[in-house]
Formats: sequence, structure tokens, C-alpha cells
Amino acid sequence: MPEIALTAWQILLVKVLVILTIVPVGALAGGYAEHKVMAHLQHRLGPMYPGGFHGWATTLADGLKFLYKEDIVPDAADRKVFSLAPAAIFVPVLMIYLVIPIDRNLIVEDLDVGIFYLLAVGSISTIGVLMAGWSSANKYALIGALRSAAQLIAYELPIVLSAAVVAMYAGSLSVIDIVEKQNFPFAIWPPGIGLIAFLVFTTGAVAEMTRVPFDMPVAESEIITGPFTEYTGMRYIFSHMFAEMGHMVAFAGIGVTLFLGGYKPIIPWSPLEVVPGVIWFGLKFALMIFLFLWIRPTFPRVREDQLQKFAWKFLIPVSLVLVLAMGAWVLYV
Amino acid sequence: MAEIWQEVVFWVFAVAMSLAALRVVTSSNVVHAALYLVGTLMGAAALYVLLFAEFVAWVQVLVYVGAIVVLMLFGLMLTRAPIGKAHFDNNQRLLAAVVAGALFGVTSYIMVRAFDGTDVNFARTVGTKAGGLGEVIFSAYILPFEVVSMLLLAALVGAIVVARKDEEVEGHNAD
Amino acid sequence: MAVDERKLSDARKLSDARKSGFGLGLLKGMAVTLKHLFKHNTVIQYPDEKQDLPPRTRGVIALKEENCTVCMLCARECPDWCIYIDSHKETLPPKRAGGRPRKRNVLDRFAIDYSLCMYCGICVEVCPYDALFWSREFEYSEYDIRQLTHEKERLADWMTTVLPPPELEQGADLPGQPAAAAASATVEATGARPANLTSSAVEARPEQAATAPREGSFTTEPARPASSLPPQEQKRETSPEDAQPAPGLDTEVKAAQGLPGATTQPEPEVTLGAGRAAESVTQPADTAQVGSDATSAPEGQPPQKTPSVAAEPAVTAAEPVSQAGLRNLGGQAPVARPSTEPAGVAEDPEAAYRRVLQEQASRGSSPQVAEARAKVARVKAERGMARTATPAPATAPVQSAPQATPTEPEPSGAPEAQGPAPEPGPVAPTADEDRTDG
Repeated sequence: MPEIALTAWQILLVKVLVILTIVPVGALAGGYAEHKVMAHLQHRLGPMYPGGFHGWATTLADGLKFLYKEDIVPDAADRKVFSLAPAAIFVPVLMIYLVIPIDRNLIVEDLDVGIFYLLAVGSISTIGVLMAGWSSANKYALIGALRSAAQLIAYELPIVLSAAVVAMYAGSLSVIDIVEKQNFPFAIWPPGIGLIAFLVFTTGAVAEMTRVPFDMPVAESEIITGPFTEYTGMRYIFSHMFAEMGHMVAFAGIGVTLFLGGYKPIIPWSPLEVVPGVIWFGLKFALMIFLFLWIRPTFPRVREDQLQKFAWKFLIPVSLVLVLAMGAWVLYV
Repeated sequence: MAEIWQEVVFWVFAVAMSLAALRVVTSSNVVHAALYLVGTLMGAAALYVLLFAEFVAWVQVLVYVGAIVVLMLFGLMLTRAPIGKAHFDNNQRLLAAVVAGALFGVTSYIMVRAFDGTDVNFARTVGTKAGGLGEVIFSAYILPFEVVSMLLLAALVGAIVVARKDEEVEGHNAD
Repeated sequence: MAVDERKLSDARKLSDARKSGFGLGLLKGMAVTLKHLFKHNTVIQYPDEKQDLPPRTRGVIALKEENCTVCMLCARECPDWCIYIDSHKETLPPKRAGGRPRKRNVLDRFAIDYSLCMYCGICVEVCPYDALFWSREFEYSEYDIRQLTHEKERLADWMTTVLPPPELEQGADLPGQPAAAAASATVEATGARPANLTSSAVEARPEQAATAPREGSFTTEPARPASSLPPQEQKRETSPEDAQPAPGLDTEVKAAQGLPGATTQPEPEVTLGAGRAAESVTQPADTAQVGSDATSAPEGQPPQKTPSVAAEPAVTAAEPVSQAGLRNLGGQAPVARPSTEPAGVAEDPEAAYRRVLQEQASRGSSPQVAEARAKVARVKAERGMARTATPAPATAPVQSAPQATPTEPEPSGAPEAQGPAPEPGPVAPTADEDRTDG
């Protein structure tokens, strides 16, 4: 048995290492994509210097810069909590990647309760944000943390419910099962329900990432950077930059898996099966990321009360109706 | 081999949980206490995982950590939690200790009685699938499930009523 | 009413937009940004590519030192007090025997502190002698704030970056004035000029010619004190190309024209370019005496030029000018830049107004343009009269001596220092239209 146990550990180690590499790299690439896509959406070029070719190393250089910055903890801050908060925010983001299937066999762990795991883990970082905001001993940070918590709770529900709709359709919580069940991407089939669920999910995801137009928690014009106001250097990178980018990449992965058919071709047509699943996943993933990036320069920030109203009075009822509709579909179609 | 590992991990988590739980009640800062509570609840989730009860584990995380503690923190921060290092405490520790001790005794007693000598083997390698759990809930345990639903609904409505009380008063005043 | 209608239509558009259906507005917004994704970006990669800034960009202020008379107007008008001028007076020997010794301001220091400057451009506007110009250069930041105070050498260096003045519009009046008068003047001038130019002055005193160019440009004979030309020409314009009716010249020309003495002269000076060229060439004659002292060589130009060489450019320069003048005569659109001032030949303002109006009409200009040009012509004509009026009748050339004559070169030494300021009396301010520069 020892040999088997050993190999199991080795496999686990490799998986963890892969995740630990993918996330920062994904965050850096996501940051670069954000710079460039947003720039071009606004008639600009974005960064052009770092690295030589179209500024490909911009985010890398940014990260290095942050490495060299002084790590400041405010005098009045609650030191321990303050230091722990970035980890509490960032680790859950890492954990999300465990169950995103890049291909049929390229998944760290196909959990039986895959979706549920995603949602549960995703909700942990709220605690981290509250910790960060409260321990900073800064009123902007506290306001930002409260906004953030309220928003994350409000928008978690639509996400959970829209994911539940998918799970109902697939009859399973396992992400692999869900992907396998989607001959057509769920966003297309079943008609209407899937698309609306996808839109609800996307909206909720944008809000969960606290990105424009739902970035009240970090609204720089009002409360500096919200919960991260007092953070500097690497802590800032991990708590804000990596967390936001990591979240974006993670949510794009989840969106692809749940709504766009994951690693499967967009239509069940055998010639398309030749293309490896990784490429399909990559294409859809890029589409999803682009969607997130596209939203950002398009819409203005909404007001805090509008944001809450929108979640509770519109998104949640809509997703409840979706759940009902999907139940009917599963039963009668 | 695997069982030993399970045992070791269990003790690690159990000790950590107990310490965290202790700190929850001894900490002089409510926010710290709430954060220790997070540790305790996460430890519980870890124990569920050890028992291959994945679904319950993640429910624990989603509901307790992701929602309940967040709401607690939220409420604390919105109301009385001092920012930063300041302490915040009340002087009802004795009473709390009595209540908690009584509760602990009662639940322990009930649990021991419930299994009453049955030898439960926790060292399993396959957990309950979510599908199986669902089937059980919606067949054998449908009544308790519905009762709990009704209870929660009632609580929800009650919360709304309580929350809207002020408005009604205002309405009276206006009249 | 119009406003109301617009408001109404805006409101209608708004309500239409709201009616259009749930979420459509969001989609429209997305479509807009998506469209922009495919538009060509408008970014100029600054340090690598440079924008072609508009000609009137306020980058840095350049000093044409020879034109500066130390009148201090710029320093006084500067809202930030960021212009520093030091000068001293020098006494010059009388121009001719029995004359009165003359005094002249010599510029010692001219500095602009760009850490204070707010780029209002008042100094440029206010300078009566066209000594200050805007340049488009803007890259002169420094690590040390003290370096931002540009002394006159540096300010003078900026002159090389100053753009030539814009082309005149098709059909615009010459800077000088009434075309007919100017034309006639040029004709005379062209006829007369070559003669005195080449022959008399230059050849007469070859020895002196060498130093000549730098000195204030002058008329050949003492009899022709007219041109009050500042020494500018010496510096840059001596070379053949420069001698052309290049923009820079007019200023002096105007000055020259303004002078009663000049205008009255039967001879050449009248045409600007030509006049100037003539002066520079002929100059040697007078300057000779004075000039011998002022040995220092002008920067740009070859002091070693022999007189004959110097003379050459002058002549060639004169040619184009005269042609331009002739062309004007013909009534065509004045293309040539040299302003053919009607030296002292004043036209009745009203007549000028009507004439230009007619011309413009026949040329097919729009009524507004025609009227505007006519008004300009009238104003010019009025000023021309004023100019002639002040100074005594042109009969005696020497007359204006105290002011106008100062032209000659002083021995002051360094070419720069001698930006002799002819006391311009009535003259200079006339430079209405465009100021031109090298």
C-alpha cells in the first residue's frame, strides 16, 4: 500500500503545483488581456513597452513592482487579521480551480458535488473581504467591506439558483456530468431557459467579482479602494488584483463549464469532435473572458441601492422562475 | 494505513477546532470571536470531509461560513464592532458558561443515547453521493424537510414583519 | 423656438429609447463599444512617433535677438514676471560729422523662466519688433528647475525651430497694402535698384564689405538713411537663400517703409525684399567706417565673404521681388509674400475699401470675405496715411536721422549684443499684419 499512497501524494502534489502555477499565470494573462481589450474598446493601444512586443510583460512588471513595495500595516490596524485577510480572500479563489474541467480528463478532482463545491468555496472569500475591511481601521475600508459583503450575499443567490437550474437539467452536481449532458451548450438548449440562466449567471458573476458596473465596494471615486485601501505591496496584489483576476478566470471557467458546453464542440457534429477539447474550452473561455472585459468599459457604475434592488427584486425572482421552468422542462419535455 | 492517516488528521482538526472554540468564548473582541468561529466551523466541515460526507461538508461551508458568519460579522460591523484593536466585551461569561455547559451536556447525552452501544464504523472509503442524499431527503425524510421549510418560511416572514415595524409606526403617526 | 424643439426631440428620443424594450439599451451600449473595438485607434506613440502639432502650438518662446530693442514691454506685460532683461546703453558716434552722438540699448541678458511661464503668449503678442516667436518645440523639461530658465543664447537657438509664417490665403491682400500703389512702387524700385546696388556701393569699397554684412543693414549712401532695418539681416539673411523674399524680411521692410526718409527716396528701398537685399549688400559702404571696429564675425554667416559674393545674393534676391511686384501689378492674386508697401503713397481709405471690394467681387470671393478684406485694406490705408503724416515730409533724407538713421552698425562688438534698436519712433508699430521671421 505504501507505494500507492505515495503515488497518490505525488499526484496530489502535482495537481496542487499545477493549480498554483495556473492561477498566477492566469491572473497575469487576464490582467494583460484586460489592459489590451479595454484599451482597444476605447480606441487606445494600452501598454506597448514592457517586454517589447505589445507590452506583453506589463502585468509581470507590475507584479514585480508590487514585490518591491513596502509592506505597510497601519498603526491602528488589527495586525493579525489584517495580515490574514489576503490569504482568506485568495485561497478560496485557488480552490475554485480544483473542479474546472479543461478537458474530459484534465480536471484536478471531479467531485461528486462539483457545483456545490464551487459555490461554497466561492462564498468564503466574503469573510476575507470583511476581515480586510474591518481590520484596516479605516472608515473607507469598513464601508467598502460592508458594501462588498452585502453585494456578495445578494448576488450569490442568483448564481446559486442559475447553477441549480443547470444541475436540474443535467441531473447531477458533478461538473463532468454536466458537461457531458450538454450536447448543445446549455445557453442554447433548452431554448430561453438556458440563455436567461446564462445571463443571470454572468450578471451575478460580474457582481461577485465586484467589477464595473457592480464595483461599488471598491468605487475609487468614493471610498478609494474599499476594503483594500490600506493594503500595499504583495498583500494588495493578492487581496485585490489576483483575487479579482483569479475570480474572473475562475468564473469564466465555471461559465464555460455550466453554460457553454465546456470542452465539447459547440454543436454535436462529428467532424468537430476532432478538435481537442482543450481548444474548445480555450475558445469558449476566451469568449467568456472577453464578455467580462467588454462589459467593463461599456457600463457606468450603478448606485448601491440600485445594485441591491436589482439583485433582490429582479435577479432572484427571475432565477426562481427559471428553477420552476426548468422543473417543468425536466418533468414534461 | 489509510485509517491511521484519517485518525491523525482527525486529531489535528479536532484539537484545532477545540482551541478555536475556546477562543470564541474567551476572546475579548467580538470580531475576533466571530473569526474563531469561522475556524471552528471550517474544522467541522473538514471532519465531514474526513467522513466522506462531502455534500454536508460543503453545505456547512456555504451556509455557516459563507452566510451565517458573514451575516454575523456584517451585523457586528454595522452596529457596535470597534474598528481595529479596541476591545469589546460584556460581563456575562459565567451565565454563558452555564448555558453552554448545559447545552453540551444535553446534546452529548442525547447522542450517546441515540446510538446506545451500536458500534459505528466511521472509517469508510466511499461516501454518500449527493443523489442518494437527495432521494433520502425527499422520500424517507420528506416530512421533517417540509417542517423545516415551513419553519424557515415563518422565520423569514417574521423577520420581515419585525423589520417593517418602524414603518407601520410611522404610518400611525402620519394618521 | 429652436431650442425648445431640440429639447422636445431629445425627450422624445429618450422616451423612445426607454420604450424600446427591456435590456435593449444594454445591448445597444455593448454594440457601441464593440464597434469601437474595430475602429482604428487614435493613439500616437509619443516618444516614438511625434504628432505634427498645429503651427500655432505654444511650445516654447524663441527670441530673435537682433530684433530686440530692450523696450521691456514683454517683461512688463508678463503676468508671471518670468522674463528677465538686462541691458546697458552705449553711446555711438554720430553718424556723420557734426551730428549728435547716438545712444543705443544693448541687450545683455534676456531670459525666460519656464518654470514660471504660463504660456499666455502675451509677450509674443506685445513685442513691437517681432523679437519673440512661438515655437512648437515642447521637450525641454529638466531635472533641475534652474535649468528651466533659458538664457538668450538658448532662446535664440529656438529660433531655428520657429515655423515660417503661413501662406497668405488665395486672394489675400499683401501684408503691405493697396496693391496698385505697391506695385507701382516696386516697379520703380526694381528699375532703380540694381543700379545702385551692384555698382556703387559694393564695388566701391570692397575692403569694408567683409565686415559689412553683420552690421545693421544700410543704404548705400549716407543720403539714404531711410531704412531703419535692424541688423537682423546681418545674421541670418546674408546668405543667398535667406536673402530671398523670405518671410523674415518683411518686418524690416515695413520698418523701412515706415520711415519717411525711406519712402521718399526715389530709389529702390521701396520693395521690401529688394530693399533689404540691397541694404545688406550695399551696406558695406557706410558701415565700413564703423564696421571696421566691429570685427567679430557673425555666427551664421561667413564674414569672409567678399563683397562681390555678398553683392550677388542681393541681386538675385531682388529679382524675385520685383517680379512679384509686377505680377501684382497685373492684378492677379498676389502670391508673392514680399509686402510691397506703398511707401508713403497713401491711398484714400475709402477708395481702398471700394477697390478691394470690387476686386474681391470680380474674383468671386464670398461677400463676407470680400467685405472683410476690404475693411482690412481700408485700415491699412488709414495707417499708411498716419505713417506718412507724422514724420516730416520726406524731402530731406537726413531729417529723420535721429531716429531712423540709427541703423548703422555700431562697433559694439559681439553681433548679438548689438541688436541695435533703431528708435523706431512711429515706425515699428505699423507692423500690423503678420509678422514674419526667418
